[in-house]
Amino acid sequence: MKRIVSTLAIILVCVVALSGCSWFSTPVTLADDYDLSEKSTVKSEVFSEIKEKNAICTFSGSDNGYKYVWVVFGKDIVKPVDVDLGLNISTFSDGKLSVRFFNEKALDFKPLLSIYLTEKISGQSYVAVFFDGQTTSVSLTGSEKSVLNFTVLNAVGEVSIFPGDNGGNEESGDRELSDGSTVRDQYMTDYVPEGKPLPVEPGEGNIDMSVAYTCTFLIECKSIFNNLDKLDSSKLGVLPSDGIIYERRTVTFYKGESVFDLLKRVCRDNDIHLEYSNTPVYNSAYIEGINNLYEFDCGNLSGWVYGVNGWFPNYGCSRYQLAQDDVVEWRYTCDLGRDVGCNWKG
Amino acid sequence: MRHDTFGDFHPLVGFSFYTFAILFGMIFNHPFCQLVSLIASVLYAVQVCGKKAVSTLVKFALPVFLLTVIINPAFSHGGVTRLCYLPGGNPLTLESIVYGVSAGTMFVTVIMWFCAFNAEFTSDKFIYVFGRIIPSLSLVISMSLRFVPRFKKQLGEITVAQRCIGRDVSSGNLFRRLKIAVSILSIMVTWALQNAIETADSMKSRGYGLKGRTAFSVYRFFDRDKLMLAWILFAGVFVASGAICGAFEAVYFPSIYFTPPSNVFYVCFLVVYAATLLTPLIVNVMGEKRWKLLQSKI
Repeated sequence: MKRIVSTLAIILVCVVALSGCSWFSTPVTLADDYDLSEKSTVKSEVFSEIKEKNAICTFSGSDNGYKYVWVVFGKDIVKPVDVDLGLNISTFSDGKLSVRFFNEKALDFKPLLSIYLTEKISGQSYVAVFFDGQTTSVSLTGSEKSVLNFTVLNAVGEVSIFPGDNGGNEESGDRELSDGSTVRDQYMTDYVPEGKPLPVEPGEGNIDMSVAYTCTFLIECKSIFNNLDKLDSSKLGVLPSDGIIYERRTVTFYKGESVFDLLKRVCRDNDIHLEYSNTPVYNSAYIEGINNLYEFDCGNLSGWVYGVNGWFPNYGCSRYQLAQDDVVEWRYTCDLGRDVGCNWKG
Repeated sequence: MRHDTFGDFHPLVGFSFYTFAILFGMIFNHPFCQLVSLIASVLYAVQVCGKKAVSTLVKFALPVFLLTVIINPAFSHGGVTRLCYLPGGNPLTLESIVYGVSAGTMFVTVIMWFCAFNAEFTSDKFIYVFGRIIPSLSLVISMSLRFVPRFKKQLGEITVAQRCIGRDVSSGNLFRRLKIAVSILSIMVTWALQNAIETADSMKSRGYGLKGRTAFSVYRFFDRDKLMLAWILFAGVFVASGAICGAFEAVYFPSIYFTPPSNVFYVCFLVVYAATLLTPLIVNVMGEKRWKLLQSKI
């Protein structure tokens, strides 16, 4: 009897001790999609419910043949009010699109808006300019048809979207470029297209810490917002509400460093979670997860891919040597890279 | 040696209890469930097997636990709480350590349940439970389980006998020892083959496989067995429905989340789970008290 009583006492103590822990806080959930086609005004009660449940909710509607989806994070809502989430979308032409919000008052949170186009458009960089002059970059996703994703900084008036400066510089530095005649090398790299830099084996080009260069760096996962239903529900809590893990910024790197070296340093300096494994077959590091978003978390074809100056190299990130003014983008794909602009043949 | 009252119950009762304990012990990763199952399994194993259970716990279960706790953070680096960086460059996270502890606890729990199961669930009980559903397979399982200790015993006997005639495996150079070991193995195989033939002949002469043959068993299904079986089956369904409702949900990656015992039902599920796992322990303690009481009356 004594033994049983003491056992129960231990359990009770553990319950009390663990109850004070944040380990019992409500996890983020995915709410059912809200259909805007009947009535585009969303009542404040809907927002208070999302806020209360700490849910992520999508609101979808369509205009002018374009489907649009808002993604609202419950944790971002400050004070729930009635909001009209309807949109008037112009026809997409010459890479330009203008969107008018039905809403009249500014929102206290910044939702993400995805506009599903009816064609596949090329180009990497698009910019959204709001009526008050604020600008934000637009992320292009979608495999068959393109999707424009951007954070709505100000959901009033009109926003116009047009192609931005693609930037990037392929010729700079003393990189050896491919003449298109490369054959399959010992690390399974098939062939590097003409004009693209050839892989440099890590450890070969010695890193010279005295010579510093700069490049643009970005880590984002906006394609997940187009596939929220496929995302592992336990990962909803680590999803950033603007889809950006590391905002596009100019960073310093040293002569001879690879994309992997830079990613590792950026993640360490900014306390971003990163897990990688070394794969000797490809002589490169493989990025398994960034910010706790791992490969296969959003469907069987999902994972991290990197692009430099708009090209997705067909070799590992440890073998891509950086040059001045490179534009490095780490993007989460849900479709083997096709949805984020990687267009390998075959 | 204490008297094992729960072991006197009908084999079906014991079998359903161990199915319940081992199955749920493997499935549930909620810390409360694991804690309850760990405590119940260790206490019951010690009660049933005595010192043998303690030695299993210290010599086998604890090393397995420590190994799991160390190995898991070395290979899994997920989780939002970074403690430091490992030499390889990947982070060491609190979540991976906690998950390692959880997995280790599960291993220890299952090992201890099997420790009790092996001591209590003898091969005649096993054949009794499965004899009608899968007659030949249950016989094969029972025979092969018995084969290992028998083989070991025979090996010891042959080694001693060989040593008597000067063939000592533990002395001489490597070649000589190898030669003796091979000859012992040869004797072993011969013995095993002859033994198998003898067993087969013996079974045949007793009419194994003939129609209308009945099997003797000492087990009867009393009212107490009925009651106990009903309780275990009810608890099984109740706890399983609780698990389906999400009462025992636990997520370790990317951040730790456990279902809190916030409502009455969730507490009920946990209490029933704990009560079921402690049932054999309580039955044995009560049985022993009654035995002592009866002894003192004489």
